[in-house]
Amino acid sequence: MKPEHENNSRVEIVARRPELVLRIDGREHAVMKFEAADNNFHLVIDQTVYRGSVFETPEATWVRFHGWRTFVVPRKIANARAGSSKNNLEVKADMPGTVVAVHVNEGDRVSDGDPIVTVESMKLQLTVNADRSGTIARVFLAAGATFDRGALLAAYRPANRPEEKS
Amino acid sequence: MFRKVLVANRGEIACRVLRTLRAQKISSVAIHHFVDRAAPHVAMADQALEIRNAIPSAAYLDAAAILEIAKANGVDAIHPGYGFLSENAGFAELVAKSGMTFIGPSADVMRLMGDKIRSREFAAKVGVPTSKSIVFAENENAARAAELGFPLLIKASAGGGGKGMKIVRNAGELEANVSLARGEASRYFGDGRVYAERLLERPRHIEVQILGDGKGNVIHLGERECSIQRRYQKIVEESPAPNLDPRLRQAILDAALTLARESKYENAGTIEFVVGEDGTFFFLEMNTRLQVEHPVTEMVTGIDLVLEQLKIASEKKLSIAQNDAKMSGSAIECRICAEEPEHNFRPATGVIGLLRLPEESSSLRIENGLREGQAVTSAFDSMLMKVVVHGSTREEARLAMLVALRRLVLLGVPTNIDYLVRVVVSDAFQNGNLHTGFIEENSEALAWPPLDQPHAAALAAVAALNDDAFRRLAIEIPEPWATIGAFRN
Repeated sequence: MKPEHENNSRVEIVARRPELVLRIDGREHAVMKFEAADNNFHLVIDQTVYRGSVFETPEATWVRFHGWRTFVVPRKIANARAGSSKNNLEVKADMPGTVVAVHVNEGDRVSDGDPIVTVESMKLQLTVNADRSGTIARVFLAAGATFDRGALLAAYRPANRPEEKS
Repeated sequence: MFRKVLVANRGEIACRVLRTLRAQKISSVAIHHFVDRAAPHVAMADQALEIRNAIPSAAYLDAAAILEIAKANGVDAIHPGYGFLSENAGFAELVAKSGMTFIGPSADVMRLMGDKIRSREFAAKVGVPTSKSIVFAENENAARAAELGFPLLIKASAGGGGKGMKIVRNAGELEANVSLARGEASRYFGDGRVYAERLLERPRHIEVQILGDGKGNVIHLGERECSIQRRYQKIVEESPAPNLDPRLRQAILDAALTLARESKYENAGTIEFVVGEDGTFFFLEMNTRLQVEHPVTEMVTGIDLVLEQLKIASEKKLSIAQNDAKMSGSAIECRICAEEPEHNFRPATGVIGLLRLPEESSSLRIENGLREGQAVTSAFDSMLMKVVVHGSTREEARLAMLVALRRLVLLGVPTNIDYLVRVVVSDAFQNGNLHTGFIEENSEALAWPPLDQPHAAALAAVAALNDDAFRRLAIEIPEPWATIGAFRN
């Protein structure tokens, strides 16, 4: 997980038949098999078998070779981030600041683009808007409160998701 | 026995306590902050109530809110776990005043042991070895320091960073070194005062698990070796301590029993000692609560410490005698933390993306309070879970730990799992050559090993082929339609 080992390899397809040949950092490698299911992979490359677990985030691919070590490979080209993530229930502060105004109450329904809170950081006022419709579950800070970077400001439930246990 | 217990904690320790409550068919109440609403401890408890606070950790420290929940829900005892309110004497008193039982020692003992100076004075008074120092008056003859025993460390009163520090190995070297230290202290700090203290070389951190009934009846459940530490926090613990002279072990256990007995300690507690290579040992501190590493003791004794805590708190007596506490085999615990060992163990954050735990058995416990999808933030401690193994010998336990760590899959947050594997396979660990400088002394053996070329290629291939777009291009699209593509990862 050391950043120096976050490989920045270039992988190119050299041939697809009779077998897949990849050029990885200038060297050719024959891939006999690649299967991935249920976050497990089975790779046969250069006549060597590798098995492990794999997990992709929009930013990186996490690979654990079974019984061995874990690596993080950044995904620069893969899946440019499309919209915000489905789990984005929490409105967080990107930098420290002060709450100027809270525009919603818990239980309020909001539509995409509706203002939730206005905050002031570095003498700039910024209004955080809902990025989809939903219901306000929690407001954590009131007007006048100060907060640190990463602090939770509010949380809301998207309209198309069932209620979570709370 | 209690009918309903509130667990004033979160994470793995809340789950640990809840497990015993379940097994005893005692109703349980969990508390949680909004960010933990889907955490396993919330799901495990019979009832779970949210405590509102802008700061997540503050919810678990909100004594008034916890008491209100406890009273409103007919709770008769509160288990504090470790951390948070576990060593807060004021909270223990409030619980008692509200007519409930605090599962832990009395507030008086917590206050005594929670104060470093008072607890050391108390230990010295009852004959438990403590670290002493002698402060020299200006121009005082240094010979008096010989009574502390050798080797000695001479330090500048105003100093720091090792400046003016001298090691003295015998009485003959004393006077000359004290003069040198005084000279350096004057030059560096403008203050020539120095003091002497006993130097423990390659010290080990060894602690003793104690149970007491509050009336002076105490037993020990053996010792735990906790020397492998980073940032002054333990990461690997075991019981029994390897390569410990049996007479020294007995002396340490006896000292712990004396301290517990004399303080009329009630419930479970841990007495920590620092032990020198030469067999000298000193009382360090007492933790008046369940320790993170308590499972290694449970593994070698077969005793459920949480159950004993409940029994002592409800019946005010010990349910086991010293002779019933038999130790068998060897147990090791590794703490899995969200951190980057390669960057001086700095804490890491992220979301638990994939979590695959090895199957638990009588010789393998996974103390976990996490689930997939849960965010690991800086709001709480970086410890994620603990892996605890038991073997009939230390070597058997060591190999079991290696297998367990290698089977553990936790992706999405940087962890110390691979680092712990390197600790467990290191010669120094294998030989039981442990002291608090272990991590520094073995830094080369514990460093991240370079990735060989075949694995580097396999890694790049997995990352590329696991990407849907690239895989379609490489494998799934019929030849005539495919264009030769490239993927940079």
